Amino acid sequence: MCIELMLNSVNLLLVAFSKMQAAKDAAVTVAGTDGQLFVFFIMVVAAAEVSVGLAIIVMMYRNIHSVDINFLNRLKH
Amino acid sequence: MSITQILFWILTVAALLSAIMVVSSKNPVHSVLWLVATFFAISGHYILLNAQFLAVVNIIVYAGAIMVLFLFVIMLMNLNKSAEPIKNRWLQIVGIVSGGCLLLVLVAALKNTEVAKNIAEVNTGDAGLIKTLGKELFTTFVVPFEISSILFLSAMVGAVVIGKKD
Repeated sequence: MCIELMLNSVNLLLVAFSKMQAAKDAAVTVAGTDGQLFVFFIMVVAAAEVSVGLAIIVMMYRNIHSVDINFLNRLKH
Repeated sequence: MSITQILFWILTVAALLSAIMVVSSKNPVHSVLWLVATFFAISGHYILLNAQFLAVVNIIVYAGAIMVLFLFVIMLMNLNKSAEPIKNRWLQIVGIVSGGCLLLVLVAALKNTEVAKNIAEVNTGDAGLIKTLGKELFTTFVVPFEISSILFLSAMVGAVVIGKKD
């Protein structure tokens, strides 16, 4: 969830910067759209990441009945 | 103080407060609900910046889909006090120190910056409207768009394969 929070802060910054760029060169009609589309792609990647990550957490909980990642040190032995 | 400024400050305070509550609340369900509040505040910011498409997508995708997924998973595995993992004390100290270092670097980097000459104007510009964004998305950015669809498909298949009962 903290990852979502950080991604959202970056999204807000990108939208603000795209507005700055659009205000700077107002003659170009598409100025600033690339920043907002980048935000859109960040949302896409976040959705994919969340689905896979939650599937991994559910699988882990089913196997060891806990969400403590300190149990996952089997590769060490 | 105009109405836009008042709205901006209200939204900023709401976003920061609920973001702090996300990190600091003990119950994960409360944390998710505060995160939904944060997303609504950020969507309000998008509307103030005249990025209506992103505001709507933010509410639908984040507050609608991803947060429901989070809630389902958290309620699926009933986390209670006894199942709470024992946190390492040194890990907490190291986390505090590294976070403080990051804050120090950011403050030091931003201290000497002059106020930008370009201001993000509110309520102007049509860069965030669906028409312009859609035209750009399906002409200039059509290849990343298709690649992201493949990414979605692979994430879907991966989630099903991982979550399947073996």
